[in-house]
Amino acid sequence: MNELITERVCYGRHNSAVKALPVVLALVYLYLESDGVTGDLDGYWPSGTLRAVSALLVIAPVCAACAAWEVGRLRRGGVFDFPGVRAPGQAVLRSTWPVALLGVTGLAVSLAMVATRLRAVAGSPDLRVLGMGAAVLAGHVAVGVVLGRVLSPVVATPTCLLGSYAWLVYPPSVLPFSIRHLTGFDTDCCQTDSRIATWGVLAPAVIGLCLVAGSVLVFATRKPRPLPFVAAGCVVTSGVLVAVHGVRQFGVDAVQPRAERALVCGGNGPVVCVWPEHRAALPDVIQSAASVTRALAGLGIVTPSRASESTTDGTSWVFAVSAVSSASERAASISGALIPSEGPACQPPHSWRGGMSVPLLQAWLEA
Amino acid sequence: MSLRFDRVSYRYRREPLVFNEFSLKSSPGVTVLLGPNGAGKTTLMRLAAAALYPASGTVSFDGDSSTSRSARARYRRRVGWLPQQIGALPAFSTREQVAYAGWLKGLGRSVAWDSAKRALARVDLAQHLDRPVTQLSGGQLRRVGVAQVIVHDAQMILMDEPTAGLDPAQRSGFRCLIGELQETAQLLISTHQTEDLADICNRVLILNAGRVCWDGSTGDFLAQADASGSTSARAEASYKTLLDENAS
Repeated sequence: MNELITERVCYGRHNSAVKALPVVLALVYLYLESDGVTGDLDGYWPSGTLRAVSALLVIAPVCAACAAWEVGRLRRGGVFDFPGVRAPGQAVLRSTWPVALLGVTGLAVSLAMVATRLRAVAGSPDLRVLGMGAAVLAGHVAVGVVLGRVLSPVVATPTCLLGSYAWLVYPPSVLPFSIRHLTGFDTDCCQTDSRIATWGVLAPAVIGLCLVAGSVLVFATRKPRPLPFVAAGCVVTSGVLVAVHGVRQFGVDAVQPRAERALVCGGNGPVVCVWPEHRAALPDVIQSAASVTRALAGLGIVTPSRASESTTDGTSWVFAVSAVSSASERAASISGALIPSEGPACQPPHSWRGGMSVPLLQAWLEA
Repeated sequence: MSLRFDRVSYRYRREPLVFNEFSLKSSPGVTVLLGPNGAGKTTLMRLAAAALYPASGTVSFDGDSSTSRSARARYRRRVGWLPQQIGALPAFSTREQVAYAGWLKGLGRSVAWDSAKRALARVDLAQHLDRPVTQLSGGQLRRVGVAQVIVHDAQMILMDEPTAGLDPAQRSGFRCLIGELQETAQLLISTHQTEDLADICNRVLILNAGRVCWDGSTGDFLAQADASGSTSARAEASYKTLLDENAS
């Protein structure tokens, strides 16, 4: 038993993933501590999960580079020419599972750090997003494995490091916007009234899984032959085309409205509905809405019978609060939501004289 | 229990045939494979090790064919191969490298780890178990290669130029090791150095241009030349004589 433990420890200590672990953890910490990354999560788990997964920006390149290095090491050691009983893929798996573990550890630490800042009162991490993160990570590692197989580690390792980083960082700065939804790196989504669209999650996952499938095809033969590479290229191209088809309708954000059944409602004059993340603010919001309703009723103005944070549940009294809003901010939001802030559609811009009254009316309602 | 080549043909891409309908059957003990450069010795070794597959014909060991998907794993498990170039896995210790080779040959990790220690002791590297394999000398690395061949208790051992890079003392130790190994396995040794192996082998094959041009016992081989003196001198003379006869 001791011998076996010694073997595991001896083997493990040489893996580049072990050496890269402190680097990855430090990078994850610095990334999440950087300005704005975890600033406006509003206690909303889908948003928090996406921010946690966005740490792939620093995790995936290191993992891809480690995979390239490890497979390059096997290549230099002649493992792929060795007429062994075990397939080359098994040798690759033995060398790269610590790399995968490194990535998963990085993601877990990222999620834990985000969770401490999230102060979520409802829900749990979005498993769809976590699954997408795992698939994207696997895709980057798969690319590292293939490059490590065909290139010298001295070339493959930096290529993976830079290429993986560029793939995650560059697409959000180019047009069309939909390209950004292929990478799995998203720090904009989502407000509490929306969630990431299904294809926003599926597209990067499909690409990641196709890269894994392509890498398996390449390793299906002992020697790098053209046919498996062509087959792998076809699989990856098909995956990219499917993913592009899925995200083509998206603009800047790949979001869809959040299901109304999640709303938490209370009060009766009017009925007030908030997202579960704002449940603690519901009594304040009900009180503010009732005050506004009473004040306006005294002037003969009828307010809607329902006020809601959802834009899709049919009410015309739509407000927005956040988990960190003060009581006065909530009151302002409730009252201000009744006032049309834009002119009627028939008026030319800047000619709606009623617009000048908006701040005064809002101040009166708040008072 | 023997290694058989049955009507094997093989060619490298866009090259003429190295073997055409080549047949051979191994025999117990140690067989030495001699031949000039380009005769096909290394290709034969690689075909026998299942590192290459024949274009036609079969290579089999005790009924297990190297080309059959179902039997290939068994075949490879039973055949060990020492190539000319030993790949050193960067950052691995000597023991890790040998254990890794055992694992690739199908041993469990713990079994391979234990077997590696024993195999390295047999090749006189017990004191270098934890030394990085990349820091070993050429001769030591060759002995690591031999340890990789014996770590999984192969029944057919193929050695391609096993004594290249070994000093005289190491060659002597290697001859002792061959003596030990032939008790449990058949050996096919490809070499240029007739003086090393004439003492320990019991069959000699001379390969030229992809054909066996001479096949016989060591005694018959040594009797081919009218030379006297040491066994090595007689072996060298016999080899030259047979090659000349073949050329003419």
